[in-house]
Amino acid sequence: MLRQILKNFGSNKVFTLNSIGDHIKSADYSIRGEVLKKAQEIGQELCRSQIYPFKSLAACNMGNPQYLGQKPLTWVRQGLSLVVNPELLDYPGLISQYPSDIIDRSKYLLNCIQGGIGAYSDSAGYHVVRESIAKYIEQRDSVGPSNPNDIFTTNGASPSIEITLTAIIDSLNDGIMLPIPQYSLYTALITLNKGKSVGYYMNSNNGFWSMSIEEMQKALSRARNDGVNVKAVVVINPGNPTGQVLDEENMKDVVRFCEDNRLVLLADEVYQDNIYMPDKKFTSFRKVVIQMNSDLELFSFHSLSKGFYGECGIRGGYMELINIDKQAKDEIFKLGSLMICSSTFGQIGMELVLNPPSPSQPSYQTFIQEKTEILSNLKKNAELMHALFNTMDNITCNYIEGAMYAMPCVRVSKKAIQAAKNANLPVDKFYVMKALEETGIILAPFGYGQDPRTFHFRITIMSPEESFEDLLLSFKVFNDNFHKQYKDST
Amino acid sequence: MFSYLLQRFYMRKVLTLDSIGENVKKAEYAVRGDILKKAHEIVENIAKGEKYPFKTLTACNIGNPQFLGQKPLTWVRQGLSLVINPKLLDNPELSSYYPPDIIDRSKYLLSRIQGGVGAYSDSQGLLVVRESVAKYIETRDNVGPSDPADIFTTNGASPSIDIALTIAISSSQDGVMIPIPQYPLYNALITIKRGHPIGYYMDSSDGYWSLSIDEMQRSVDLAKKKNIKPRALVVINPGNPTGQVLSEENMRQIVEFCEINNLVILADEVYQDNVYIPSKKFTSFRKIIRQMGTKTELFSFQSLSKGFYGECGIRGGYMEILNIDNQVKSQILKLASIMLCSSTLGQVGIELVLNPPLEKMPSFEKYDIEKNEILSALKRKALLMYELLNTMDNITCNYVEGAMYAMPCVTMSQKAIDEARKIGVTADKFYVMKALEETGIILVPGSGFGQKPGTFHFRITVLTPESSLRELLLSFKNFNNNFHKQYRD
Repeated sequence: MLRQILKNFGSNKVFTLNSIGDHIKSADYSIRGEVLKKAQEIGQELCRSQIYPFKSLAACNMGNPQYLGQKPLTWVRQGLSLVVNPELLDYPGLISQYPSDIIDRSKYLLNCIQGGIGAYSDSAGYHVVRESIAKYIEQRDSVGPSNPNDIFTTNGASPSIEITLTAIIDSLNDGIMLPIPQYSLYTALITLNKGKSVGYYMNSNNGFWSMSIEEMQKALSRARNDGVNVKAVVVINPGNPTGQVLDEENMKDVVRFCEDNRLVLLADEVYQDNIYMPDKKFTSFRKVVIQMNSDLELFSFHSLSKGFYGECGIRGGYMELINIDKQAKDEIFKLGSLMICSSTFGQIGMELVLNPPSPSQPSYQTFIQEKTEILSNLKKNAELMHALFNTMDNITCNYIEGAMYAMPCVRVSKKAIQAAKNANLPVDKFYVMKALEETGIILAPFGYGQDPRTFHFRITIMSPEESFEDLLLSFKVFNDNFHKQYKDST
Repeated sequence: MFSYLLQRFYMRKVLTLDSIGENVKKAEYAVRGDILKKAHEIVENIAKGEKYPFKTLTACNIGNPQFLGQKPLTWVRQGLSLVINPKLLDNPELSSYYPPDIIDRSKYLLSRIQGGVGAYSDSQGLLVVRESVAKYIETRDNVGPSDPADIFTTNGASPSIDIALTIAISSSQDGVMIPIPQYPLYNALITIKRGHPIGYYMDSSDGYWSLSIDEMQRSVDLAKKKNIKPRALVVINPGNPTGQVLSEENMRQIVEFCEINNLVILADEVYQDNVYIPSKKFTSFRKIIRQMGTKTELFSFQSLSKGFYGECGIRGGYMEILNIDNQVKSQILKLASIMLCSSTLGQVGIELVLNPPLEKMPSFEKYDIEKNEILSALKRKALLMYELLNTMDNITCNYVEGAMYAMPCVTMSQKAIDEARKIGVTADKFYVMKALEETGIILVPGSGFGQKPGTFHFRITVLTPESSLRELLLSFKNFNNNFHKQYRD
């Protein structure tokens, strides 16, 4: 009875914030954190009143292209619809709208899938899907065959990354190197797995982001001196949020760095189809490792969520294991099998995208048109964003070579830093919250730069095109006013 | 340069079996473990021309109904096809093939999903889906409103369970009570998270599986003596693999037990739509707790994979939290947001199934026929399996009250136990391997689920099509009776 009364006052619960592990409480995923919560509150308020100087929110915090109006590929959606409802194949009035090649592909896939899309697949994914993925990898890299048995499909790339980190992090002392700035999934997962994040600074020079082996070496030595057992390096290429596209020489240096220091390489390559500078092209770490004849242990991650396909909600992705010890691989695949299998839709989506219509096929024209439109749109936005941010006070923005984000650097006054402290916020969150309240733009704060008077924020290069320039101009107004308001009196 | 070459020459890999944590290595998931590996080898061997006493394998190891021929619901597949390819809605011929209610529903869902199914949803799940889930729960239980804000959609129920166990296990002293036998995901996840599984044995008497509060108390007391801190209790209802459907009285006792022992309830209710015995019906723990007026902390799990919908591959599911501290809830949301969101198609699937066509609607008749066909077939198969297994030598099988499995008990001779030990496996694993080689039937040995020491079981699904079930069981009976003859003491 007393227990009831205490429970009613919430003081005697079994699960309380105190009783939850520190590793859970310290895990931070800033992309969908407090700023988003505030945005949701504002969103609800917008339905009720006119108190904000904008009509709607602009979600520029997440690489979520279709949310902002990017269209899905017809080839993909037609294929998925036939696979989910094969009865369509028997409806002349409906199937007449589908080109013959997508009909054939869907029938072929259904033939290979016992029980259809509603049955659990093999834990690693349908064999037919892994075969297509392997073929795509082979053609992309031209360095020999890829083995479907070394490929494991997951719901987007994130679960692949999670499984890999769980396998690598064995003790509290184990460390994983990751780029600063980085996609916060990594620190969040490393923290949850009770490992240590070892950040290595990216270089920002002359308007370009780049990787520096020197910085990596510095970070590694520092960590090892602190007694951290550094086991792996994460490289995101093209970078998130920095967008840099590595060249082969740089990649060879990274491979040698890993070999020399006995590190496993985690290559996050989900933006391999998002490259905007004409003189840059994507090279996979697999290609470099194989060409160098290296035994480097490599995990490569890819996803259905980005590129020009942008199917975030469908949850498709995979990892490829290269030079991984067989027994270790078995353990990793076992971890993957606990969730039984990944979304069969995501798997089929991956197959359709990585095995697209060839030039002689009826769906090809539409496919290429849609792909080109989406990519040129992204490129245009990247260039516009780069240009406009560099006209704003106290902001510098590097070139957006690839991926989906700009990562402007903001220099703030002492006054601004103090104002943030007074509001109990780090200055990047302070700035981003103010931007939200004054423009409706949702950004992701990204913490301090190497210079403590600067911070970065991440903004996506996607937005319904018509309003994109207006959006950036309204942001310029906010930014310039912010710096005026908190100008240090000299 | 030389030392570099030397290093490279003698370098072992960074990632080896040794370097992987004990917690990972200890974790086992027998449903897709060694036996399945053996099955894959056999498939390869058959392809190479090797002869076996059967033509194909029959997968009776996993609750994967559509793999074995169960049909999906038309309502669900039509809805998903329209939501995936909305251009179909622009086709004037659509109404000749799709009933108007599924067209309307799809349009409505699309109007509430910004960007369509290709966009990430809220990490907690699309609001329109959670609203329908909440309404379903309210109607099912009749004990007051359910809040969409307390619902989290995930890719099947498994990731929800993962989140709940992450919250439950904060230190290496923390323990979670799990039934023995249990669905091995629980043991595996608790092990990986370096917690302590606290097993409580299910009772098996008079042909029924049941839960005993005395046994639960015994196991929790033993754990406390070992300095383990029990934090939560897993109850699977209807049971997997045991199939028992708990009575309300039993459930009230369980809630009281949790109140006394300060435990959170993790209620795995994914088989709530699979009840075969007419005298039994499913009751949710949410309903019991609300009726009792206790503030027992509860996580309830449901999935799109079972029931009569059986959409395993689509990965739909959710958990509902009850009486959970608000700050803890924020942490749960944070954990969910790290994987961004669950499959939007799984979410839409859940909405369609939990908000089905109503009686006057055009899709209702077909929906109802399909649902009844599947459930009555499952019921017949459960009964057939129970009857036939009980005619086999050295096998006793309890009633299959619900879920999708039979869990027969096999009496092993000392000879069989010794033979198994020779090759380093338990007698039930030995038995299951032989069954695979001689009949092509893939089962899961009882050791994969846990069982009372000295007993042996295996789990077999009741999903094989009726047309081949009898034949399958007779060939299994043949194998079983020969096995016991061969290894007679």
